[in-house]
Amino acid sequence: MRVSSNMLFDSNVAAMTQQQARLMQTQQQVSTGRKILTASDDPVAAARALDVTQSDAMNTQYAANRGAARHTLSLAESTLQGVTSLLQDVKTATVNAGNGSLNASDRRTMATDLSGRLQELTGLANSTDGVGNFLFAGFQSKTTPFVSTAAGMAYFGDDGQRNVQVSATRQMPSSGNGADMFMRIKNGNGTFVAQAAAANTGNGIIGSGAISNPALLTGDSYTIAYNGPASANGGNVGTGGVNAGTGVISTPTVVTPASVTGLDYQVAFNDIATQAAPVNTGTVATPATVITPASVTGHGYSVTLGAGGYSVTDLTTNTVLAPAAVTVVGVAPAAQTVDFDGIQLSINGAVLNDTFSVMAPTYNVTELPAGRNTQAITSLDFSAVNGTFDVDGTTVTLNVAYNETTLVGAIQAGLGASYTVTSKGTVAATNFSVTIERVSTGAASASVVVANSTNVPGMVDSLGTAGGASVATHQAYVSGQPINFGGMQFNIQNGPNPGDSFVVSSPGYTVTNNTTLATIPATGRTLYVAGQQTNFDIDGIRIDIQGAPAVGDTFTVSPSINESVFKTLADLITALNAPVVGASLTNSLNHGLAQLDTALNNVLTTRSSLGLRLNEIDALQTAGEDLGLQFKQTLSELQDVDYNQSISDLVRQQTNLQAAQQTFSKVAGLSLFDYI
Amino acid sequence: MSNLFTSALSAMNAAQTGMATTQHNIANASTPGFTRQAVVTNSNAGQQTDGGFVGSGVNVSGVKRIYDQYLTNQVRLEQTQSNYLSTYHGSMTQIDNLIADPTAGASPAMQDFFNALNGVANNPESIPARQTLLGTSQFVVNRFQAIDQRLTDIADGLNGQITRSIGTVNNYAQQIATLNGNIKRAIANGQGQMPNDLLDQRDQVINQLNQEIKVSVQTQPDGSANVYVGNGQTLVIDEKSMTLGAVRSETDPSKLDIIYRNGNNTTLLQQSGLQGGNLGAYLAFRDQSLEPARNALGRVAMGLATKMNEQNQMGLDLSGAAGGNIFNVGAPRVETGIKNTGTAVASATISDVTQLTTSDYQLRYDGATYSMVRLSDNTSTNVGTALLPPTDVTMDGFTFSVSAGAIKGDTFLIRPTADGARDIRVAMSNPANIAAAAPVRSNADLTNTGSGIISAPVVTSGLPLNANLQSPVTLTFNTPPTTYSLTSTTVAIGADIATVPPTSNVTVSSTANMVVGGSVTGGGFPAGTTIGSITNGTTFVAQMPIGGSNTAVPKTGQTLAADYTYTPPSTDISYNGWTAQISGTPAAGDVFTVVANTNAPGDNRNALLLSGMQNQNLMAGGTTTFQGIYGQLVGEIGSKTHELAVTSQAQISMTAQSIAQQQAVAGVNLDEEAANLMLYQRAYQAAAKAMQVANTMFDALMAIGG
Repeated sequence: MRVSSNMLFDSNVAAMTQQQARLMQTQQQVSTGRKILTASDDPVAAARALDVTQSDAMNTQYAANRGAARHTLSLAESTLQGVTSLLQDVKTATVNAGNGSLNASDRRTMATDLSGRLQELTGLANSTDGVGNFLFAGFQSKTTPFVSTAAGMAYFGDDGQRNVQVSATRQMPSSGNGADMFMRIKNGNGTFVAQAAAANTGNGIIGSGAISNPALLTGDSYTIAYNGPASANGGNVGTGGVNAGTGVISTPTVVTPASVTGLDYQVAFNDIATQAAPVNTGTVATPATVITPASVTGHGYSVTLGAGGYSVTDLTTNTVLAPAAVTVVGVAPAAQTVDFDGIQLSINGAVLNDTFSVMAPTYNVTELPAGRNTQAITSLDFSAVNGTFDVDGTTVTLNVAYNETTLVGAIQAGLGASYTVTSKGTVAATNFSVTIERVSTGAASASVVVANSTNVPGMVDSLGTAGGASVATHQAYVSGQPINFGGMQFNIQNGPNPGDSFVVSSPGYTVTNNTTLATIPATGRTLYVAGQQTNFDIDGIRIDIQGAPAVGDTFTVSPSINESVFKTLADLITALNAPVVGASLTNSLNHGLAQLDTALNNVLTTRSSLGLRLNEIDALQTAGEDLGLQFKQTLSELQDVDYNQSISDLVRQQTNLQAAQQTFSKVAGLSLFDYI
Repeated sequence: MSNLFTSALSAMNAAQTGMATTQHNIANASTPGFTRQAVVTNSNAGQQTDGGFVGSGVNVSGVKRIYDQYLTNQVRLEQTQSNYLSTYHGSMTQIDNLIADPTAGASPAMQDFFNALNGVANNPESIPARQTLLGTSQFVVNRFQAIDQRLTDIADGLNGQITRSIGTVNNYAQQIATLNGNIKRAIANGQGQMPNDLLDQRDQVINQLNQEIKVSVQTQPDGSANVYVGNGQTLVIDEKSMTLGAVRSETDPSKLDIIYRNGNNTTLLQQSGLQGGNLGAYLAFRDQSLEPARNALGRVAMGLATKMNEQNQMGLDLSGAAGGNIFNVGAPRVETGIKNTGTAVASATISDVTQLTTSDYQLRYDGATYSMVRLSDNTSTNVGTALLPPTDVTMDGFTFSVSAGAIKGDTFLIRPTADGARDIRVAMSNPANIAAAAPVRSNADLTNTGSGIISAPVVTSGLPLNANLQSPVTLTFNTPPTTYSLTSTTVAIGADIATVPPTSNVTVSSTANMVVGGSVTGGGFPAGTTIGSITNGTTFVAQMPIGGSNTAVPKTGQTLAADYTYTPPSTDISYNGWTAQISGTPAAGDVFTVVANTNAPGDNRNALLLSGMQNQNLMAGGTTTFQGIYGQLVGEIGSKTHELAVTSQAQISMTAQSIAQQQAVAGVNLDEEAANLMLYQRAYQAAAKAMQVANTMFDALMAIGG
């Protein structure tokens, strides 16, 4: 091929320029250490390098995030370490406080010490991160979370939990809230708590209880009440629960513990019987009519028609009533009435010397069946609008003005066929009462609550149908004379009216379900023998009470609620400062110890969770470093120069260029002109 | 005898012409565009003698160029393409390094920004961490603006280059016209002899013109050459040259268009018609690489800024107030065609950054319909008619409207993301305004006896946020705790029912349990409207205030929900625009609340959501991340540059080859010329010798006679 001289130069120069460009590129790669100098050198690798650089930067950021999380977690951990040792100290002190050899002054010293500990605990709970952010305030990190108020320690933080992005896929909680740490400590065993009432005076010590059958748990609360023998006026269905007479019953005492039954009894007074002497011509109506119940004395009388009229002898006092105290209407032998001491005798056909006896009152004693529950309604305005009261959980609403008849109808309609509603008296005469009687003898009757107020005091008496076993009948009543049964002794004084009744309760304890109001036993009380351990199993809960509870002592079993560790400490301090009554200190200390255990457990659980998270951070750190190494390696593969390759390229290109340059000078130097 | 003399003389003349031509070749060996010349000789016709025809010497019939039209054309074709590719590649390298640079690109700035967001998430209370975030926000903004500014500088530079290139083209056209005249006259005068050097000059000027703009050449019988550009526009005809000009683009006044002037007529030269030469490269670079790069960069800026703003608005700042914007976001650029004759005005707003493309759009009105053309792929969509001009039409993430008054032929250019990088600003100045906290929090009541827990509520309402989002809501577990009731003091009422006369009651349904006697808020109820009676699961009666205006229209709502069912081990509850999960074993009477998250400097939930956006596929229709679309830009520019580097290199080789072939024919080889020189020298010497011989013969003859 023909070669033009210019081409010889041009193509050589072009080739050398190209070689120089390549040489420069290689040299730049070597000097920068980067294979990709611009995106166009390797567009795919360049774009990928951007991605990998971002991933690597994010990975580095996650490491920084882990550092932040580790810092916060370590702060919380060291604070909680302080809380742990504090609670352990308090526990030791609490155990020591139970030492019987300590006197009140020693306990007060311990209380002072615990007050200091409480302060310290508050300080720990209000720890900050060193720049004024509270560790245990949830999201409200600038708000002091734990502040002592009149109602005890209050939490002003929230339930917030801060997460930190510790890896691409893991958000780790880096803070805990104070509520979970210090406030949400379930008391008792976590399901229920058994506690002695603060006012208890006896030596009963209640254990923490146990769950005997989880399937039976109801979540209801229960009250265990220890009661001595008791008595009450009234309770007769026929009288609307209100005794008409003036009879007063004394509080029974236990005289024969072995005979105590635990049952409730009704002492019901029978009608006042009369009798005509066999020789009499006249007859007397029996029973006598009580015309003025308040004047009835409860005595026996002898009534004799003498020349001067009827003379009445009080057989109990063996005195003759003053003629003025005896009112006679009618003339013998026609029908006459003879009134004295509130009693009216109706005598017919009496002739001189006819004698009539008025028997001293007698009473019957009956075991009370299930369902008796009497509650006096101190004031019930039957004329009011919008009155309500509850019977066995059924609410009766009175929302218009009633008279005696419409009221009974309204209550009956409200309660349904399970109850019989009757009334006595008239509203106008203020002697009005309503009796509500349950037809069946099923479960115990519930409370009768009356809202609204004013006018007419009365009694709503909700009774079970009579029908318990008879204990004694027709016992002669002598005012003030001791009456004995069921191991108890008491007396009734003054004048009970026929139909009046009294309720006598045996000593013992009852367990009441505060939600359903069912009691165990359904009626009466469980016999309690002093010194004997009380234990029972109800609705899957097993409770034991040791020692001797006093009459009136109560214990409660209620679903566990949150009790703050501050309250536990404050309660312990209160208990240590208070005078020791019975087992009060022991019960308080036991409760406190149990709470401290739970609180400690809670703190330890949190600490272990913090520790786990710190471990996880370490693991993630290792993984993150590996990943970072991988990113760096990928990045290096993508954009870093391979020195072996590049330097070899450089040398090769250099050699090539040199060769081109040298040959060029040779070729360019050839000219025919040199030879002519 | 005379024959001998004339023959020798003709030979000496021919040798002299040969030497002169060879000398001319040697002299012009380095002249650009020079074509080697050669002497054309033929032998003179012989004289008829009895002994036959006796030769009478040599005749120089002309000097010709050793020229191959095909090869010359081939060189032109390759050359214009080579210039196109090299210039394009040279331009691309300007942006190639700028965007992908690991320290100067936007990528490290975005990474810093997200790192600072993580810092805020780690320490939401920390003002320094928040300040750092604002600082890195400014850094991101600066990077976007700096890159955009650099692109603008390059675009401005391009306009200058285009103007200069057009000047050169016009200048060459003028030269060609002049040369045409000279050549024509020389041919006419030369009685058919070609003015070789003039032709070379003209070829050279055409070659240079061809490097600026691709031309086609047609040689006329009279020797003049007609030059055409673009789609056949005549640049030079005979001795007359037309001019090109640069004018502000009709559709996009920020850039220059090329026009062709012929007298008073001007024609727009389409970029598609200018595919070679420097000018073609400038236009292609600008329209196919520079502006798309600006759009892509704008899309990254708009996406990042908008998404950050949206998420920030869904949180609460350090003071407990709803978050605002972190960035100011640019708006779409709308250009009205400068040749528009109508009065219509177009407007556009961004409706969904995730759907944005990097394309520009042209809205065209043909007198009957409006069509929107996506310029990247020329997809046309009908968007309105003469009667119904487009109003709030949404496509590809932006919404546009055109007012009435468009006239046939009107166009509007919509560049949704062109100003995204230029106009991004940091809107926030107070570091406390960064919304690190979520708007609501949940709490379990401390008196709860069950073990149920409630998760932190997550905001599920998009923007605008549910109006009742922060209304306190109380969840109370019923007996048995398999259901719970929900109490919210604020009730929103939905759509219209009917106008009711004042003072009457209207039955509407609500969204929640409400307190009888509570006031009805919203829903167009007159002030003072209260809830009269209510039954769970049904509707409530709203008591209209006496004297209330019946211009207010009560609205229906949803059905009052019955108690919600709780299904262990966990149940989600969604309400008022949030969702929380209750799990565990709640007991009857347990209470959970969801309340406004005020006074919560320690909450970082929204900050986590903000920083988490780095990893989320939010852009390009939810297919990639912010970094992803930036990487896409880098990849596109890189691969285009790479492609141009390779093809331009290949084109240079091909051009070199073509030139080599052409030069193989037309180029001067000095050795060859040296040989020719010697040849002609020898020929001359030989002829001279013949002359001498003849002379000697003549002398001999004279001697005989004398």
